[in-house]
Amino acid sequence: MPAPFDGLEDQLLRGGIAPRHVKRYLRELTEHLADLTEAQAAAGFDADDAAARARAALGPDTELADAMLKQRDFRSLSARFPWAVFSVAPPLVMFIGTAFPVLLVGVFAKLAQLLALIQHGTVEPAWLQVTIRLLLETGNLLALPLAMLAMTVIVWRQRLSPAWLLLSLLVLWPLIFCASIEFPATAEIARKQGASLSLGAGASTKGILAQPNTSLLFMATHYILALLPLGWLMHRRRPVIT
Amino acid sequence: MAGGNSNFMAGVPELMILRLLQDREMYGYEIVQAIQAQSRGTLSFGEGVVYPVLHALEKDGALKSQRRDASGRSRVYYSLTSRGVRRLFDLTDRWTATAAAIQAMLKGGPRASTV
Repeated sequence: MPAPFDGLEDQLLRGGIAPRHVKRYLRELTEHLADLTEAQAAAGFDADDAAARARAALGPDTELADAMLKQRDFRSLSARFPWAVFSVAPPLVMFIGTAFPVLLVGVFAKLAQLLALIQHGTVEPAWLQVTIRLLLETGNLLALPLAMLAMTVIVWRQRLSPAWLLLSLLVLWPLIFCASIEFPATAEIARKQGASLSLGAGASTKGILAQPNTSLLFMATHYILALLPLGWLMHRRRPVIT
Repeated sequence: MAGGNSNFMAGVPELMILRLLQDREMYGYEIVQAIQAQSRGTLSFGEGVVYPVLHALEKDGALKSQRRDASGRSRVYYSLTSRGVRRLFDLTDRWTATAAAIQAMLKGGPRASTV
Protein backbone atom coordinates (compact mmCIF):
# COMPACT_ATOMS: atom_id res chain seq x y z
CA MET A 1 0.00 0.00 0.00
CA PRO A 2 1.53 3.35 -0.99
CA ALA A 3 2.28 5.90 1.76
CA PRO A 4 0.04 9.03 1.70
CA PHE A 5 2.69 11.20 0.05
CA ASP A 6 4.45 8.72 -2.25
CA GLY A 7 3.12 10.40 -5.38
CA LEU A 8 4.00 13.86 -4.10
CA GLU A 9 7.51 12.77 -3.15
CA ASP A 10 8.04 11.42 -6.63
CA GLN A 11 6.72 14.61 -8.25
CA LEU A 12 9.01 16.80 -6.18
CA LEU A 13 12.13 14.73 -6.74
CA ARG A 14 11.46 14.52 -10.46
CA GLY A 15 10.92 18.29 -10.38
CA GLY A 16 14.46 18.70 -9.08
CA ILE A 17 13.80 19.54 -5.42
CA ALA A 18 16.68 18.41 -3.22
CA PRO A 19 15.89 15.25 -1.22
CA ARG A 20 16.51 16.94 2.14
CA HIS A 21 13.93 19.63 1.36
CA VAL A 22 11.47 16.99 0.16
CA LYS A 23 12.00 14.97 3.32
CA ARG A 24 11.41 17.97 5.55
CA TYR A 25 8.30 19.04 3.62
CA LEU A 26 6.77 15.56 3.78
CA ARG A 27 7.50 15.24 7.47
CA GLU A 28 5.75 18.50 8.27
CA LEU A 29 2.84 17.59 5.99
CA THR A 30 2.50 14.27 7.82
CA GLU A 31 2.42 16.05 11.16
CA HIS A 32 -0.08 18.60 9.84
CA LEU A 33 -2.26 15.76 8.53
CA ALA A 34 -2.22 14.13 11.97
CA ASP A 35 -3.40 17.41 13.55
CA LEU A 36 -6.13 17.80 10.93
CA THR A 37 -7.31 14.21 11.38
CA GLU A 38 -7.43 14.66 15.13
CA ALA A 39 -9.47 17.84 14.74
CA GLN A 40 -11.93 16.14 12.38
CA ALA A 41 -12.30 13.19 14.75
CA ALA A 42 -12.90 15.61 17.62
CA ALA A 43 -15.63 17.23 15.51
CA GLY A 44 -17.46 13.91 15.46
CA PHE A 45 -16.43 12.24 12.20
CA ASP A 46 -15.58 8.55 12.22
CA ALA A 47 -11.99 7.51 11.54
CA ASP A 48 -12.37 7.04 7.77
CA ASP A 49 -14.30 10.27 7.25
CA ALA A 50 -11.91 12.19 9.47
CA ALA A 51 -8.91 10.90 7.51
CA ALA A 52 -10.52 11.72 4.15
CA ARG A 53 -11.59 15.21 5.21
CA ALA A 54 -8.17 15.91 6.68
CA ARG A 55 -6.43 14.82 3.51
CA ALA A 56 -8.74 17.01 1.42
CA ALA A 57 -8.09 20.02 3.68
CA LEU A 58 -4.36 19.58 3.31
CA GLY A 59 -4.71 20.13 -0.45
CA PRO A 60 -4.36 18.03 -3.59
CA ASP A 61 -0.94 16.69 -4.54
CA THR A 62 -0.68 19.02 -7.54
CA GLU A 63 -1.24 22.11 -5.37
CA LEU A 64 1.21 20.88 -2.74
CA ALA A 65 3.78 20.07 -5.41
CA ASP A 66 3.35 23.39 -7.26
CA ALA A 67 3.88 25.34 -4.03
CA MET A 68 7.23 23.66 -3.50
CA LEU A 69 8.32 23.60 -7.13
CA LYS A 70 7.89 27.37 -7.26
CA GLN A 71 10.69 27.69 -4.70
CA ARG A 72 13.62 27.55 -7.11
CA ASP A 73 16.16 27.81 -4.28
CA PHE A 74 15.22 24.36 -3.08
CA ARG A 75 16.37 22.65 -6.27
CA SER A 76 19.31 20.32 -5.87
CA LEU A 77 22.70 21.00 -7.38
CA SER A 78 22.39 17.95 -9.62
CA ALA A 79 19.04 19.20 -10.93
CA ARG A 80 20.41 22.67 -11.61
CA PHE A 81 23.78 21.71 -13.03
CA PRO A 82 23.66 18.02 -13.98
CA TRP A 83 26.39 18.40 -16.59
CA ALA A 84 28.77 19.79 -14.01
CA VAL A 85 27.84 17.37 -11.24
CA PHE A 86 28.11 14.23 -13.33
CA SER A 87 31.37 15.23 -14.94
CA VAL A 88 33.22 16.90 -12.05
CA ALA A 89 32.09 14.86 -9.05
CA PRO A 90 33.10 11.39 -10.30
CA PRO A 91 36.82 12.18 -10.71
CA LEU A 92 36.72 13.90 -7.34
CA VAL A 93 35.18 10.86 -5.65
CA MET A 94 37.58 8.61 -7.51
CA PHE A 95 40.52 10.71 -6.36
CA ILE A 96 39.34 10.52 -2.76
CA GLY A 97 38.75 6.78 -3.13
CA THR A 98 42.30 6.36 -4.42
CA ALA A 99 43.94 8.73 -1.99
CA PHE A 100 42.16 7.50 1.12
CA PRO A 101 44.15 4.25 1.30
CA VAL A 102 47.37 6.29 1.07
CA LEU A 103 46.23 8.21 4.10
CA LEU A 104 45.39 4.93 5.82
CA VAL A 105 48.85 3.61 5.00
CA GLY A 106 50.41 6.71 6.57
CA VAL A 107 48.31 6.39 9.73
CA PHE A 108 48.90 2.66 9.86
CA ALA A 109 52.68 3.03 9.48
CA LYS A 110 52.81 5.76 12.12
CA LEU A 111 50.78 3.63 14.51
CA ALA A 112 53.00 0.61 13.91
CA GLN A 113 56.04 2.79 14.51
CA LEU A 114 54.60 4.18 17.74
CA LEU A 115 53.92 0.66 18.94
CA ALA A 116 57.53 -0.19 18.04
CA LEU A 117 56.35 -2.83 15.57
CA ILE A 118 58.52 -1.27 12.85
CA GLN A 119 61.53 0.96 12.74
CA HIS A 120 61.23 4.60 11.70
CA GLY A 121 59.74 4.82 8.21
CA THR A 122 61.06 1.51 6.92
CA VAL A 123 59.00 -1.09 5.07
CA GLU A 124 60.17 -4.00 7.18
CA PRO A 125 58.90 -6.45 8.32
CA ALA A 126 57.18 -8.31 5.47
CA TRP A 127 53.71 -8.14 6.97
CA LEU A 128 53.84 -4.35 6.73
CA GLN A 129 54.54 -4.60 3.01
CA VAL A 130 51.65 -7.01 2.57
CA THR A 131 49.30 -4.75 4.48
CA ILE A 132 50.32 -1.66 2.53
CA ARG A 133 50.00 -3.50 -0.76
CA LEU A 134 46.56 -4.77 0.26
CA LEU A 135 45.33 -1.31 1.24
CA LEU A 136 46.59 0.30 -1.95
CA GLU A 137 45.30 -2.39 -4.27
CA THR A 138 41.90 -2.25 -2.57
CA GLY A 139 41.87 1.49 -3.18
CA ASN A 140 42.90 1.00 -6.79
CA LEU A 141 40.22 -1.57 -7.37
CA LEU A 142 37.38 0.20 -5.59
CA ALA A 143 37.96 3.82 -6.58
CA LEU A 144 36.05 3.70 -9.87
CA PRO A 145 33.18 1.51 -8.61
CA LEU A 146 32.95 3.79 -5.59
CA ALA A 147 32.70 6.85 -7.81
CA MET A 148 30.02 5.19 -9.92
CA LEU A 149 28.18 4.03 -6.82
CA ALA A 150 28.10 7.60 -5.51
CA MET A 151 26.72 8.86 -8.83
CA THR A 152 24.16 6.04 -8.93
CA VAL A 153 22.92 6.99 -5.47
CA ILE A 154 22.43 10.58 -6.65
CA VAL A 155 20.56 9.43 -9.76
CA TRP A 156 18.42 7.04 -7.70
CA ARG A 157 17.58 9.47 -4.92
CA GLN A 158 16.74 12.31 -7.26
CA ARG A 159 14.94 10.26 -9.91
CA LEU A 160 17.31 11.48 -12.62
CA SER A 161 17.88 9.80 -15.94
CA PRO A 162 20.41 6.93 -15.78
CA ALA A 163 21.90 8.44 -18.94
CA TRP A 164 23.84 10.83 -16.67
CA LEU A 165 25.79 7.82 -15.41
CA LEU A 166 27.08 7.25 -18.91
CA LEU A 167 28.54 10.75 -18.86
CA SER A 168 30.30 9.91 -15.58
CA LEU A 169 31.60 6.69 -17.04
CA LEU A 170 32.94 8.53 -20.09
CA VAL A 171 34.73 11.04 -17.88
CA LEU A 172 36.21 8.30 -15.72
CA TRP A 173 37.36 6.14 -18.63
CA PRO A 174 40.69 7.91 -19.29
CA LEU A 175 41.44 8.14 -15.58
CA ILE A 176 41.72 4.37 -15.33
CA PHE A 177 45.04 4.64 -17.15
CA CYS A 178 46.71 6.84 -14.60
CA ALA A 179 44.70 6.84 -11.40
CA SER A 180 46.31 4.01 -9.54
CA ILE A 181 48.81 3.83 -6.74
CA GLU A 182 51.86 1.63 -7.02
CA PHE A 183 54.03 0.28 -4.32
CA PRO A 184 55.92 -2.92 -5.25
CA ALA A 185 59.28 -1.87 -6.76
CA THR A 186 59.95 1.00 -4.39
CA ALA A 187 59.51 -1.27 -1.40
CA GLU A 188 62.16 -3.64 -2.66
CA ILE A 189 64.55 -0.80 -3.50
CA ALA A 190 63.95 0.74 -0.13
CA ARG A 191 64.75 -2.53 1.58
CA LYS A 192 67.99 -3.00 -0.35
CA GLN A 193 69.19 0.55 0.00
CA GLY A 194 68.08 0.94 3.56
CA ALA A 195 65.95 3.91 2.50
CA SER A 196 62.85 5.24 4.19
CA LEU A 197 59.30 4.76 3.08
CA SER A 198 57.80 7.87 1.57
CA LEU A 199 54.55 8.62 -0.15
CA GLY A 200 54.09 10.52 -3.37
CA ALA A 201 51.60 11.01 -6.19
CA GLY A 202 51.81 11.47 -9.94
CA ALA A 203 50.41 10.27 -13.24
CA SER A 204 52.02 7.30 -14.94
CA THR A 205 51.30 4.98 -17.83
CA LYS A 206 54.07 2.66 -16.75
CA GLY A 207 51.71 0.02 -15.39
CA ILE A 208 49.58 -0.45 -18.48
CA LEU A 209 52.56 -0.42 -20.84
CA ALA A 210 54.69 -2.77 -18.78
CA GLN A 211 51.97 -5.30 -18.03
CA PRO A 212 49.25 -4.93 -20.68
CA ASN A 213 47.55 -8.23 -19.90
CA THR A 214 47.33 -7.70 -16.17
CA SER A 215 46.29 -4.10 -16.67
CA LEU A 216 43.54 -5.01 -19.11
CA LEU A 217 42.21 -7.62 -16.70
CA PHE A 218 42.35 -5.04 -13.93
CA MET A 219 40.49 -2.51 -16.06
CA ALA A 220 37.87 -5.05 -17.09
CA THR A 221 37.24 -5.92 -13.45
CA HIS A 222 37.02 -2.23 -12.69
CA TYR A 223 34.42 -1.65 -15.33
CA ILE A 224 32.32 -4.65 -14.39
CA LEU A 225 32.30 -3.50 -10.77
CA ALA A 226 31.50 0.04 -11.88
CA LEU A 227 28.58 -1.10 -13.99
CA LEU A 228 27.02 -3.12 -11.16
CA PRO A 229 25.31 -0.10 -9.53
CA LEU A 230 23.99 0.97 -12.94
CA GLY A 231 22.60 -2.53 -13.52
CA TRP A 232 21.00 -2.44 -10.10
CA LEU A 233 19.47 0.95 -10.88
CA MET A 234 17.99 -0.25 -14.18
CA HIS A 235 16.59 -3.31 -12.42
CA ARG A 236 15.12 -1.40 -9.48
CA ARG A 237 13.98 1.68 -11.36
CA ARG A 238 10.75 2.83 -9.82
CA PRO A 239 7.75 3.16 -12.09
CA VAL A 240 6.44 6.67 -12.60
CA ILE A 241 3.65 7.28 -10.12
CA THR A 242 0.76 9.16 -11.64
CA MET B 1 -1.68 30.16 -1.37
CA ALA B 2 -4.51 32.64 -1.56
CA GLY B 3 -6.80 32.63 -4.53
CA GLY B 4 -6.95 35.28 -7.24
CA ASN B 5 -4.41 36.94 -9.51
CA SER B 6 -1.01 35.67 -8.50
CA ASN B 7 0.77 38.95 -9.29
CA PHE B 8 -1.55 40.96 -7.13
CA MET B 9 -1.36 38.38 -4.38
CA ALA B 10 2.42 38.10 -4.49
CA GLY B 11 3.84 38.58 -1.01
CA VAL B 12 0.49 38.15 0.72
CA PRO B 13 1.17 34.69 2.21
CA GLU B 14 4.52 35.95 3.54
CA LEU B 15 2.86 39.05 4.96
CA MET B 16 0.21 37.02 6.79
CA ILE B 17 2.71 34.56 8.19
CA LEU B 18 5.16 37.23 9.31
CA ARG B 19 2.35 39.22 10.95
CA LEU B 20 1.12 36.19 12.88
CA LEU B 21 4.60 35.26 14.02
CA GLN B 22 5.23 38.81 15.19
CA ASP B 23 2.97 38.09 18.18
CA ARG B 24 4.34 34.67 19.13
CA GLU B 25 6.08 31.61 17.77
CA MET B 26 3.78 29.07 16.11
CA TYR B 27 3.88 25.77 14.27
CA GLY B 28 2.46 25.23 10.78
CA TYR B 29 -0.95 23.93 11.79
CA GLU B 30 -1.44 26.80 14.23
CA ILE B 31 -0.49 29.33 11.56
CA VAL B 32 -3.04 27.95 9.09
CA GLN B 33 -5.79 27.87 11.71
CA ALA B 34 -5.00 31.45 12.68
CA ILE B 35 -5.10 32.64 9.05
CA GLN B 36 -8.45 30.95 8.49
CA ALA B 37 -9.89 32.27 11.72
CA GLN B 38 -8.68 35.85 11.20
CA SER B 39 -9.72 35.97 7.54
CA ARG B 40 -13.09 34.44 8.50
CA GLY B 41 -12.69 31.80 5.82
CA THR B 42 -12.20 34.33 3.00
CA LEU B 43 -8.79 32.92 2.18
CA SER B 44 -9.06 29.27 1.24
CA PHE B 45 -6.11 27.15 0.17
CA GLY B 46 -4.67 23.71 0.60
CA GLU B 47 -3.28 23.93 4.09
CA GLY B 48 -0.05 22.16 3.20
CA VAL B 49 1.11 24.96 0.90
CA VAL B 50 2.07 27.03 3.92
CA TYR B 51 5.23 24.96 4.42
CA PRO B 52 7.15 25.92 1.27
CA VAL B 53 6.50 29.56 2.20
CA LEU B 54 7.75 28.96 5.74
CA HIS B 55 10.83 27.13 4.48
CA ALA B 56 11.61 29.88 1.98
CA LEU B 57 11.27 32.55 4.66
CA GLU B 58 13.58 30.57 6.89
CA LYS B 59 16.10 30.19 4.08
CA ASP B 60 16.01 33.95 3.58
CA GLY B 61 16.71 34.45 7.27
CA ALA B 62 13.33 36.00 8.03
CA LEU B 63 12.34 33.09 10.30
CA LYS B 64 14.07 30.56 12.44
CA SER B 65 12.71 27.19 13.39
CA GLN B 66 13.09 24.82 16.27
CA ARG B 67 11.74 21.31 16.66
CA ARG B 68 10.24 20.74 20.08
CA ASP B 69 7.92 18.31 21.81
CA ALA B 70 4.54 19.74 22.72
CA SER B 71 1.47 17.83 23.90
CA GLY B 72 3.20 14.55 23.22
CA ARG B 73 3.98 15.49 19.59
CA SER B 74 7.11 16.72 17.95
CA ARG B 75 6.48 20.02 16.19
CA VAL B 76 8.49 22.63 14.34
CA TYR B 77 8.00 26.06 15.87
CA TYR B 78 8.72 29.11 13.74
CA SER B 79 9.65 32.52 15.10
CA LEU B 80 10.52 35.87 13.60
CA THR B 81 14.09 37.13 13.30
CA SER B 82 15.15 40.78 13.18
CA ARG B 83 15.42 40.45 9.40
CA GLY B 84 11.87 39.06 9.41
CA VAL B 85 10.65 42.09 11.34
CA ARG B 86 12.18 44.41 8.74
CA ARG B 87 10.62 42.38 5.97
CA LEU B 88 7.24 42.53 7.71
CA PHE B 89 7.41 46.35 7.90
CA ASP B 90 8.44 46.54 4.26
CA LEU B 91 5.65 44.22 3.09
CA THR B 92 3.12 46.02 5.29
CA ASP B 93 4.02 49.37 3.73
CA ARG B 94 3.79 47.99 0.22
CA TRP B 95 0.51 46.21 0.86
CA THR B 96 -1.04 49.23 2.56
CA ALA B 97 -0.11 51.41 -0.41
CA THR B 98 -1.52 48.87 -2.88
CA ALA B 99 -4.73 48.42 -0.89
CA ALA B 100 -5.17 52.21 -0.60
CA ALA B 101 -4.70 52.64 -4.34
CA ILE B 102 -7.27 49.95 -5.12
CA GLN B 103 -9.66 51.38 -2.55
CA ALA B 104 -9.34 54.83 -4.12
CA MET B 105 -10.08 53.41 -7.56
CA LEU B 106 -13.12 51.51 -6.31
CA LYS B 107 -14.49 54.59 -4.57
CA GLY B 108 -14.27 56.79 -7.60
CA GLY B 109 -11.99 56.47 -10.59
CA PRO B 110 -12.11 58.53 -13.78
CA ARG B 111 -15.03 56.43 -15.06
CA ALA B 112 -17.03 56.94 -11.90
CA SER B 113 -16.56 60.71 -12.07
CA THR B 114 -18.05 60.90 -15.57
CA VAL B 115 -21.23 59.07 -14.56
